[in-house]
Amino acid sequence: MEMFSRPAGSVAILVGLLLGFFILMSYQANRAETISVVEGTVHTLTSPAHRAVSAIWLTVSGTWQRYMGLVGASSQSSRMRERNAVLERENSSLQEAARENARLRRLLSLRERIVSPSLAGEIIGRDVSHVYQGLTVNRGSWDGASRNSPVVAPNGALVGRVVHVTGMSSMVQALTDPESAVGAKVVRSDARGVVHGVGGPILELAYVNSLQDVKNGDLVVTSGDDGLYPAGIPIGRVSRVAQGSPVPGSPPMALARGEGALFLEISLNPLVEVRRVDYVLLLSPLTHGE
Amino acid sequence: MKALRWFVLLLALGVLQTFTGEVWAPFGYVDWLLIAVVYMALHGSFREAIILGAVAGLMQDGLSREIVGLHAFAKTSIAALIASFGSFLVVRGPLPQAAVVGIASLLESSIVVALLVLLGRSSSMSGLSITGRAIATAVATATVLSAARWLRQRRKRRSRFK
Repeated sequence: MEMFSRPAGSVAILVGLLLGFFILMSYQANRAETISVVEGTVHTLTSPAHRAVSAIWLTVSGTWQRYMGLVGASSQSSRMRERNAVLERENSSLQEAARENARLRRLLSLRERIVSPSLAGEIIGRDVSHVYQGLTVNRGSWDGASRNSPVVAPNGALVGRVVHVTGMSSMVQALTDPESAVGAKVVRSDARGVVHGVGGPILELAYVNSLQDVKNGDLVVTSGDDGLYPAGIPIGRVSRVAQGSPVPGSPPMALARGEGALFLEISLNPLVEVRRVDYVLLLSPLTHGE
Repeated sequence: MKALRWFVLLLALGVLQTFTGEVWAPFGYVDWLLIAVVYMALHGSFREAIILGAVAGLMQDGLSREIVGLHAFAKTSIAALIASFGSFLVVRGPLPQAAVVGIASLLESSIVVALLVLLGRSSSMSGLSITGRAIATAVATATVLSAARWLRQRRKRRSRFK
């Protein structure tokens, strides 16, 4: 192979890098909450660019909308076209301002409803790896954001929690992330379990005793049992309830006991679509565990 | 100076990668950092390719969440593989290079999934998303390289007439 004719130095660098990365990965695999220097550095370096690109995009998309408005009006008379262009431009700006206003009002009213201190933020990036489901918020430790802060959408529904904080931005683990787990309860029957992501848009409520009363459409909120999220934050509504399989080797929620299963299999529709969230509130964390 | 230029380019591509999905969801599947790594592996030296692969991968891990080294390992491996084969396979033109990028994307995703399994972690990457990512990255490569070639030819034509 050509590789073998490479200078020994290059091959040594390659082997060293691969070995180093593998050791780094193995080290982190046993420590779920590791904050790495690399992540901190990259976020600190890219945060200003994120903000700048976000601002440029808003300007470009606004200009594009105004341009489209002008194109639509071009079939009318020149006088009407001029008039229309002005109105379109104003309308577009006003609509955007109104939408922004409505979003911020909802956020503000939510903030007033929430007793604990909170911080409003804007989503400036999404997880680039497609392995996990995360969001980047334009609030960092310099703004008062801190790790383990619960993150909620303007409608009050839970989005996730802050897992990494840098000076100017924070990384949020979305509720739908396969590694996310939230202590939860069904409001109607007080049945308790753990909500976790499965990688897709649906959530699962696990470890709910099969004797508990859970029905389709039931609202599920945070229970506060996990010490990370305050109780009562809406998560989603039950979309499917089934008896867990009694067959050994089934998913963990379906442990066998006698003829039936110990736990119910419950699917939830989250109250917020993570991909569509633009603004969020970062609540004060219950713990600051590092 | 060249190293600094590449670092700034990687930073820009990292930001682009987090942001393009906001503009239009399918754009989010394009792995801009991988395009840079494959380009360097095909056109640069072996050493430059693996170092760029490592930096690009670390940058992606930094912009992502958890397990730093996952994409760094995958991208360094891909860079080494392509730099090794690229020296005796002549890959020129946007389409063949796009095909190499597509294959590299499939390989990278496979390495990432394999490492996650090995580390006992879960992944939300499905076969469909891996394929979609490879196709989107290949199409983006073909588009960017075609545009670059067109610009080069135009500049050459203009300079000939001057």
